[in-house]
Amino acid sequence: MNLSKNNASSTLYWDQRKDKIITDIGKWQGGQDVTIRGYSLFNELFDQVSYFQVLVLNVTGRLVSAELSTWLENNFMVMSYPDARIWCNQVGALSGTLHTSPSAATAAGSLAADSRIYGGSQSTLVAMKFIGDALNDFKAGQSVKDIIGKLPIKQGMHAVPGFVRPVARDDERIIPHRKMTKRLGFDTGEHAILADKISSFMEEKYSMGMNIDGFSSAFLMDQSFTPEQVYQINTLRVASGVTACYSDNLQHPENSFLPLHCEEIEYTGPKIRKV
Amino acid sequence: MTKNTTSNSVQYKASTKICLETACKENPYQAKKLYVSGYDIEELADKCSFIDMIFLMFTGEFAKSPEDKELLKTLQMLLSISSPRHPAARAAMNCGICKANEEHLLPISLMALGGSQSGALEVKECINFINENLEKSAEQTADNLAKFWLNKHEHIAPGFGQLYGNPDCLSSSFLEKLSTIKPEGKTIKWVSSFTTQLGKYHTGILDVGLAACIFNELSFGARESVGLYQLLRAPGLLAYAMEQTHKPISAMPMLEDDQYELIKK
Repeated sequence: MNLSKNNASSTLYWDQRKDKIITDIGKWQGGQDVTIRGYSLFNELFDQVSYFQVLVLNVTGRLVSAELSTWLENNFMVMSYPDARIWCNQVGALSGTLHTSPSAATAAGSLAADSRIYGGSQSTLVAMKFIGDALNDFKAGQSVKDIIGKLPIKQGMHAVPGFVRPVARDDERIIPHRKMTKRLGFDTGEHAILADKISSFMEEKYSMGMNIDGFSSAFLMDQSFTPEQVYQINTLRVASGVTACYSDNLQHPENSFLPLHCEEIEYTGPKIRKV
Repeated sequence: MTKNTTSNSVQYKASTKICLETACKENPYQAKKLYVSGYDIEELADKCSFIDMIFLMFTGEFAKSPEDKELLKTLQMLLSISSPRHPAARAAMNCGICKANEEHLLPISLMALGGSQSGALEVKECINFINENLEKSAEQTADNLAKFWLNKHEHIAPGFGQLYGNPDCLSSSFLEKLSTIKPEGKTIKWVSSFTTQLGKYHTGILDVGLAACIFNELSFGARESVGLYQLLRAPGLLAYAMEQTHKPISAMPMLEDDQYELIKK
């Protein structure tokens, strides 16, 4: 509803919403059932579809196939490693040393991965927007070189979302994903074909290749997801690795995770002075 | 990350200009003294205020003038309590009443407050907007924006818009109050003129715009201002949440089924 200048002082829009929720996403009918996007939880979903199908249904309103759900779940699985060197997991580990609650530790670690450069949620959003725009440009006649050339230069090369993995250190997730995609019967879509062309260009020019965000983004665009939907589906993608690092450090004595001497933090501020 | 465990090992690396710790002789992990931007924290505790500490930690120095200090002090007071109807306050109260762990209440409300629509992120966007237009005529900028402002639910510019269909009278009043502290401040002058001009289009400054105006006047960075806004909003949010923890869950009843309408798409 747009408020025109004439009725700008009207509060009708808000008055209509007082003490009332109007929605199409679903409803809990206490003691009976739950409706999720038009489906009955206990008659049509429970014990019949996977958790991931329900997750995607909640976010998008689409009940995706078991194959696509399997793809998404496996893709979700490989974004979370129990290794406390990784930024978000380090938050989990440090929370463990503080005996923070597991929910807070996991939520904090998940927030730490809400980043444009890693973590697979926001970073996939950025990569999906890129490959979507790139395909439009490619269809309009631009070459891969033109498309890459428009991107900003960072650290001496064009920053291409999803394609900044050094070739010498291949992303260990790509080959298993290609195999899984084939096994589940998915065709290679137009975004995926373009992603491979971009990867080849990047390898030749910068010795950098596709990472899992680049691969996933192209596939998910081919499956007609929007970047925003995938961002929402993947919000808790790093959670299990964070919780693992939390759990590990919960058992250890206080301050035992990477302890530091006072002098090991480099101080770069003013010399000691008086107020 | 421990030192020299293998030939390729790296040392944990972090640096800061904010804080220096000097170690106890008998234990290198324990600090004997703590200095903030060069000043002994114990001396600061004797002679300075929390507002002084904010300037020191975020800019490396104390406020440049008594007016600047007064500006931040006044903003801190004005933002310390939001309306209990603010979405972040309601999130806080919800969690208090549903008996979420007390240590979660403040982080939950601050996370809810982090958004880009009337949340902390909009403070950053507003600072960027102000700086992009600060050398231009405030009146002309407002007139130009008004030409393309069709959906009144959307903010006319980051930090500026309507609140329930009208200009936000409380934020306008706060801006006037803050303007008297430093009337010649470049950002304050521009924002005041811009807000006055927006009044012709039945819109005005919002609380996030107010925060952005003062943070920019004080030369806090756009990125820093996101968290500073959350910090200044924190006391009231925590108080609202804690108050509810002492009440039974029935004190904020769920809506009845007939107040929840499920529609088909």
